[in-house]
Amino acid sequence: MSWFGLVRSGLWRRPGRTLLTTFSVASAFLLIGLFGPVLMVFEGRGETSEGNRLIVQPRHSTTDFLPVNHAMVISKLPGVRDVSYQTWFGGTFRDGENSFARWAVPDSFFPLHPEIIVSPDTLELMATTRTGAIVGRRTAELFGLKVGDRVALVPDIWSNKDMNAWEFDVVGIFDGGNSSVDLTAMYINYAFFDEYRAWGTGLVSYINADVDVGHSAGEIVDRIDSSFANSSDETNTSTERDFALGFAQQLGDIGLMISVILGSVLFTMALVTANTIAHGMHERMAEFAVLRAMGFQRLATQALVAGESLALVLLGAVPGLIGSALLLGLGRDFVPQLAGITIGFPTLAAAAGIVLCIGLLAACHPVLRLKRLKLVDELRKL
Amino acid sequence: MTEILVDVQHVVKRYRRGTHVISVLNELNVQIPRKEFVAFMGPSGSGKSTLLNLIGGLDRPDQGHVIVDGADIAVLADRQLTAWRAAFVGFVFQAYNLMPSLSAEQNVALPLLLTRLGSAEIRRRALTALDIVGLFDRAKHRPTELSGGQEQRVAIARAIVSDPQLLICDEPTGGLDRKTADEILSLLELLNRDLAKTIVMVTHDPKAASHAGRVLHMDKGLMIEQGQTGEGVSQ
Repeated sequence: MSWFGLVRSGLWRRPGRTLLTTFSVASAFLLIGLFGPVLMVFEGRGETSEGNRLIVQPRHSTTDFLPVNHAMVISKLPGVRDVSYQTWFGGTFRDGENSFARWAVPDSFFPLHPEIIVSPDTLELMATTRTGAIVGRRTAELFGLKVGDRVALVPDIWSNKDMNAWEFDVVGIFDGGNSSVDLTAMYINYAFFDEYRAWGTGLVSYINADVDVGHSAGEIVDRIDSSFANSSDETNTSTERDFALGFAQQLGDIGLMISVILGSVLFTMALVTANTIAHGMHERMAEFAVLRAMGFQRLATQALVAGESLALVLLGAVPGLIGSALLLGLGRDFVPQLAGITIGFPTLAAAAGIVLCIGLLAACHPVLRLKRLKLVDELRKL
Repeated sequence: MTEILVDVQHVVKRYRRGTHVISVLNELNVQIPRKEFVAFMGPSGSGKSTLLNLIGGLDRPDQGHVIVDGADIAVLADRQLTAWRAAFVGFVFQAYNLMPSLSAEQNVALPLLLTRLGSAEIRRRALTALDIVGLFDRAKHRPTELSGGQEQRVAIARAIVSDPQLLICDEPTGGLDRKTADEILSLLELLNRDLAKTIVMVTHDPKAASHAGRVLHMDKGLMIEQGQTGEGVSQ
């Protein structure tokens, strides 16, 4: 017999009720495990770069383009350290069901994004191979792509001058230095793309700029946008974080929706758990009176209740989180966009905090009842 | 000379019911020698259970002293009184009050969680206590798998497992048939005689009281009569 055994016996006093509660808590943590990392991606993407990285996009529409010459102008502005650019390529790979991001980027793109881990040899190959392409680890594994393979993409925006499918040679596979890196992406050689496209030569989707030390992002944002004010190609500059948030907000403020869903789930879970604990304790108040009569201190009985409550939440949280990790793992095989969305330390830390908060909150009422417990009155009811 | 274990001196206990104050014990004086088996009898509301609660350290008097083994437990703080109960008293209730999800052995071991004993020693002592009450072979059974008499035996084993000097028994045979009740009372007699436990029992049943060495009759918060039964006294 041990204190742990006593907590366990309290939990299994009504196995049906405990199992049902555990199931509801597990369902809640399944949702937390699935949506929590997504929320963190929405809120955290763009915070991972070193220094302040800016994205310059067309002012009036994200589907417009900017002249690549803007990059030259921006690079000469005070407070701008490095500049690069990228153009959305799109296209259809194989049967068209395989959706992943494809960008045409110049050599300068990779030094500006050190979180994309790619070897110097690969960069050298990319620079010297006109049809070169670097593929993210996830996409490479998903489609069995390896260095030397040829990838054909049917154009949907950018027809080439021969009006044929584009063909690229895989020269390397890249990994991510952190979870913000999209390992499903594919980068193709901008120089080749720009020469060979049938229209739009010199047009880019975004310009990337790195703010120099000693300058604030806000100051450079204003400087860039004012440089192109009243021109035919006005710009809208933002930090990567603001850009990511703005993008999410265009999709209906997904972050807020996820927060509301998770909040509702947590609130419901707190009510269910608190209700179960309160019912259980109400039935067992006489048992606690007997324990007190035996010599268990008030604090010890309160700790038992809190322990049971925490154990009940933990009992649901662990399988819930394991389930969500398994589902995310399975989902990555079918939905490449889930790459980079993993249950990492921040999610686990948040889950631990939730277990602690819900467990202790649910225990509050019975703990207070135990504080007010009148031993003689409770024993008289027996 | 008889050594007094429990000395209740001029105890007054009142309860408030709404605007009414009900006097339950009025300047009560009782002395219980060590190793005695004493039974309190009396009609409902006579104050016998209240007295039992005071002697067992579950409640405090409004006036007077409850001196057990030389210490006035009426002045102890809640924490100290709880620790005193753990070390000094074992309780046997009418409703047994065993934990339904624990086995007989685990129920008996409960009071030992408050000690610094290792798990092996806790188990050994719990099994010894079960052996004393004749339920060694039922150690793994849960309360629902035991008869009422067996449950009460487990409750008695739980009461004696930490080797307290004083056993407080509140209607210990109230829910049992005559034969089983006699067995339980014989067990209490055995604990009094062979293990030298001082037993204070409250009962409505004269036959149960006859197992005690002394029977004290109470009414309206006062002791009205006492007599020796000639049985159960180990002195």
